[in-house]
Amino acid sequence: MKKVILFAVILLLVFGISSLVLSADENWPTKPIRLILGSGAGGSTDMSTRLLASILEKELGQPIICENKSGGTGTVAASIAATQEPDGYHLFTLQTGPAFLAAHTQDIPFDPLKDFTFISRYAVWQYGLVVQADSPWNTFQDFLKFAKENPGEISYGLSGTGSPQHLVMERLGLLEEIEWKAIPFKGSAESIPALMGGHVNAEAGVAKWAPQVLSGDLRLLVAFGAERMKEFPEVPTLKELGYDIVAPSLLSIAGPAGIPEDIVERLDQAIKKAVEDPEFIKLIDRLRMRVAYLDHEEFAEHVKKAYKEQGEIIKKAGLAKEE
Amino acid sequence: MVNDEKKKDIKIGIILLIFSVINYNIIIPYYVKGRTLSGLSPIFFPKLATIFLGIFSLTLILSRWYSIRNKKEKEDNKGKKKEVGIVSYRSYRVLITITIMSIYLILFKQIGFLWATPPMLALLMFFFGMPSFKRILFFCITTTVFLFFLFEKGLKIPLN
Amino acid sequence: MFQNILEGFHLMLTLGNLLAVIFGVIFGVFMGAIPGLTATMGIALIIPMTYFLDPVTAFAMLLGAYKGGLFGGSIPAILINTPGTPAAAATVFDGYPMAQQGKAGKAMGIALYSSVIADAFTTICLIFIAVQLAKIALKFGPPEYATLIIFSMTIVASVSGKSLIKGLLAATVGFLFAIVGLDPMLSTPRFVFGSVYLFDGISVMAVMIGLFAISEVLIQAEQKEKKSTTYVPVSKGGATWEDLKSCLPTIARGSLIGLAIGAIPGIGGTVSSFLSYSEARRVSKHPEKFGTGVIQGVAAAESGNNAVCGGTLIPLMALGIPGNSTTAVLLGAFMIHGLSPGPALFKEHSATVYGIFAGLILANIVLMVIGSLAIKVFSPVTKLPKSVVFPITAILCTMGVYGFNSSYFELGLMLLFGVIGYLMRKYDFPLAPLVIGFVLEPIGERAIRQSLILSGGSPLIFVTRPISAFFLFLAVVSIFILSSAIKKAKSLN
Repeated sequence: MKKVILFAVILLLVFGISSLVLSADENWPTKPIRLILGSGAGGSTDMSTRLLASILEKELGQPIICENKSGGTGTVAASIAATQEPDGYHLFTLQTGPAFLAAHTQDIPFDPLKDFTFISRYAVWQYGLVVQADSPWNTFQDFLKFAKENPGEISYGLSGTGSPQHLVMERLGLLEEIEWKAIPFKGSAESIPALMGGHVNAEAGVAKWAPQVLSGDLRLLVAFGAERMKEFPEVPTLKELGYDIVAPSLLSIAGPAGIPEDIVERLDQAIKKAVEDPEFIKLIDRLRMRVAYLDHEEFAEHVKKAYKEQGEIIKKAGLAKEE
Repeated sequence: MVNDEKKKDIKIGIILLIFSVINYNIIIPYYVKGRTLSGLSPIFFPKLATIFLGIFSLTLILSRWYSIRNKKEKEDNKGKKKEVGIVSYRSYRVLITITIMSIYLILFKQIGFLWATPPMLALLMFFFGMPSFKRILFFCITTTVFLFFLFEKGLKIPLN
Repeated sequence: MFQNILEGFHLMLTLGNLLAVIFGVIFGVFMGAIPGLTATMGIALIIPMTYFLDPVTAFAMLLGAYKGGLFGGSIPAILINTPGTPAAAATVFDGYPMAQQGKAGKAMGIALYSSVIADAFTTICLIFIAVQLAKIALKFGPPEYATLIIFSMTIVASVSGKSLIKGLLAATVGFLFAIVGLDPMLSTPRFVFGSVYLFDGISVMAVMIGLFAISEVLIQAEQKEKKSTTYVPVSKGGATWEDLKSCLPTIARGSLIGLAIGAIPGIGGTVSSFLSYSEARRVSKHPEKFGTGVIQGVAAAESGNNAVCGGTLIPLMALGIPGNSTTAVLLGAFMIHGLSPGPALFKEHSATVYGIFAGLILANIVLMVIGSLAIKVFSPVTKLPKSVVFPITAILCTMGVYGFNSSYFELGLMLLFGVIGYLMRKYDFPLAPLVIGFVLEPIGERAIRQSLILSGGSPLIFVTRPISAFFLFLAVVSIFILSSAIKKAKSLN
C-alpha cells in the first residue's frame, strides 16, 4: 500500500513539474503545431482554415500540420481535441455544431463550455432564405403572409435537422405561428436543385445558392446574418425586419481546456494579423463566408451566450435530446 | 449441394433469426430513439429491415431443411469424411492473421506508422510463407519508406 | 458552337496546359490506384497548387485528376480484389476472377477502353446537351429518388449468385449497417451506441475495403505458401480488338446509365456501376457466368462508373450544382478562382468554359495514353508471390483507409468488415448485395420520408407523378421477369 502511495506521489510530482514546465514555455512554439480540421478535405471550411494555417505558419515560425477528422459537422474533431494535451501544440477548428448545438441535441463526450480554451473566431457562414425567381413572393413579407394564410402549404428544404438555418426557421415559425414543413436534405447540393425543380417552395441555408441567385434562377428574400451580404446589399437581414434573430455561426480556432494564458495571447495576436491578410480576405469572400474576428475573451463570452440561447431555442422547437 | 453445406446454411439462418429477434425487441427500443413528429419515424426502417431479416432467415432455414429431408435417402455418407483437421488448421491461421492485424492497428495508433509497420509487415510476410529473410527485409523497408514519404510528405497526411 | 470549341482548343493547346493535363491524369490514376484514396482527395490536395494558375490550366489539371482517379480505381480491383475507390466495387466481381485466370492485362485493358469510351461519350453530351439534360435532372424530386432507389434494389437479384435468398439476407444486413448513424430526417441517434464516431454512419470506404480486400487477405492466409510461386498466373497479353468489339454494346449501355445517374445529384458512381453491371448481366446470353471472370462484366462496371464523370459535370456546369463529393470540391475550386458555374458562367466567361471543355477532350486522350502506361507499370504485380502481395495489401489498405479521414476508428471498422466478409465468403453469402443495400438505403430512406412529409403522409405521391410512377412500373416489371426466370431455372433443374 505504501508503495502505491509513494508511486502516486511521484507520479503527481512528475506531472506537476511537467505542467509547470509547460506553462513556463517561454519559447513557444518550438515544434510543429497540429491542427485538427473538423471537415473533410476540399470543402469551404477546410480551404479557409488551411489558408489561415499557412499564414499563421509565417507568423509563428513553425509549421502547422493540418489533419482532417470530419464527422458530425465537427463534433468528432471537438471530442478528440477535448482530450488532448493543453500545451499549445494541439489545436482544432471549433465549428457551430459542437460549440452551440450538439450538446443540446446529442449525447456527446465533451462540454463545450468547460473542455476548451477559446482562442479566436475568424469567420462566420452567411445564411439566407431563397425562393424560385419566378415565384409570386418578391419580399420576405410576401412569403410570410402567404405561409400564414396557407398553413402547411409551404415546404422548405435545408441541410440537416437542428442546423442553424433550421433553428432560425423554427424560431420564425414559433414567433409568427406559422406551420411550414422542414424537408432536410443531404447538403445544399441536394436542397438547392430540389428548390430549382420546384419540389420545395423555399430553401434555407448557407450561401451556396449565391451562383443561382446571381444567375437569376433564385431570389434571396432575407439574410440570416448580423449584416447584409456584400454581394446582395439590397436584401435586408432578419434583424432589420424586426426579428431579433441571427443564425448562429462559427469558424474558430480553439484548443483543449487549460492552455497557458501567454500562449493563447500570442496565438490570438497571430490570428488577428492573419485575418487581415488580403489573400485571406479574398478567399473568404470568394467562398461567400464573412471575416468576423473575435479575440479570445470576446469569443469565450460569445460561446457562453450563444450556447445558452440556442439551448433554449432547441428546447422550444422540440429538438432537444431526451434526458 | 451437399448436406453439410445445407446444415451450415441452417446454422447461419438460426443465428440471423435469433439476431433479428434480439434486434427487434432489445437493441432497437434501446438504441433507436424515435420522436414521432411527422412522416415515418426513425424507428420504421430499422424495424422493417429487421422483420425482413427474420423472414429471409426463416425462409433459408425452412428451404434447406425441406431439401435435406427430401434428399436424405439418396445421400450416402460420402461427404461425411471431410478434412476436419484442415478446416481447423485453416481457421487457426486466419485467427492469427486477424490478431496480427489488430496488433498492427493498435501499434499504429500508439507508436506511429514508421515503427509499427516494418515488424508487423515482416511478421505477416513470414507467416504467409516467405522463405527468404533478405526479401522480407527488402520489401519491409521499401514499402514502409515509400508509404511514409507518400502520405507524410506527398499527401501531407500526418502519420503520428 | 463549333466556333466556340475551336476557340477553346486555341486557349487550351499550350505546352503548359498539356503538361497540366498529363500531371493531373497521372496523379489521378495514382490516387485511384491506392485503395482508400480517391480522386476527390487528390483534387482537394492539388487545389492549393492551382491558386496561382490560370483557370483553364487549373481545371485542365483538376479534371484530368478526376478522370484518372475513376479509371485508377479499377487497377487494384482487378489485381488484388480491392476496389481502389468505392465506385470500382463492381469491377471486382469479374476483374479479379479474370486476374486469377491469368487475364489481368486483358481485364485492365478493357477497363481502360470502357473508361475512355464512356468518358468521351459523356464529355460530348456535356458539351452539346448539358442544359437540356440538367433541366430533366431537375425534375427529380424526393418521390422520383425514392422510386429510382426501389427500382435499383432489384439489382440485388442479379448479383446474388447461386442463392437468391442468401443475396436478400446479405442486402438486408447491408441495409441495417447503413441505418447506423444520426437519423437523416430528425438527427436522432440510431445504433450509435454513444459514439460520436458513428454520428455520420459507417464509412463506405471501411466497408468496401474490409469486405473485399481484407477478406481476401484472410482467405489467402488460410494456406501457407509452399513454393514461391506467383499469386495469380502471370498476366499475358492485353485486350484485343475482338474483346473490345464484344463489349461495345455493354459499354454503350453503361455510358447511358452513367450519364443519367451522374446527372441526378447525390446518387453517384457506385450505384451507376452496379446498375450497369446488372443490366449487362440481364441482357447477356450467359448470365450465370457473370462473376466468374466475364469480360463484359468489367466493361459494364467501368463504363458505368467513368460515365459518371461527365454526368456529374452536367449539373455543375449548367446549374452550378455539384452532384457528388468530387464535383463539390471542384465547385470550391471554381469559387476560389472567382467563377460561379451555371448559366452566368457561359455568358460571362464563355472562353473559359470552352477552354475547360477542350481540356476535358484533351484529358480523355491523355487518359488513354497514361492508362496504357499505368497498366504496363502495374502488371508486374502478378509476378509477385502471394507472401509479398497480401501482406502489403493489408498494409496498403490500412494506410488508405487511414488517409481517407485520419481515423483509427475506421481502421477498426475496416478489420471488422474484413472478418464479416471472410465469414460471408466461407458461408457462401454473396458480398455484392450487402454493398448495394448499404449504398442505397440512405438515399432511399431519406427520399421516401421526404416524400411522405411533402404529401402529408399519403403514399399516393409515388404513383401520381409520372417519372416516379415509371420507375415503380419498371421495378414491378423487373420483379416479374426475375420471378419467371427463377421458375424457369427451377423447372430446368
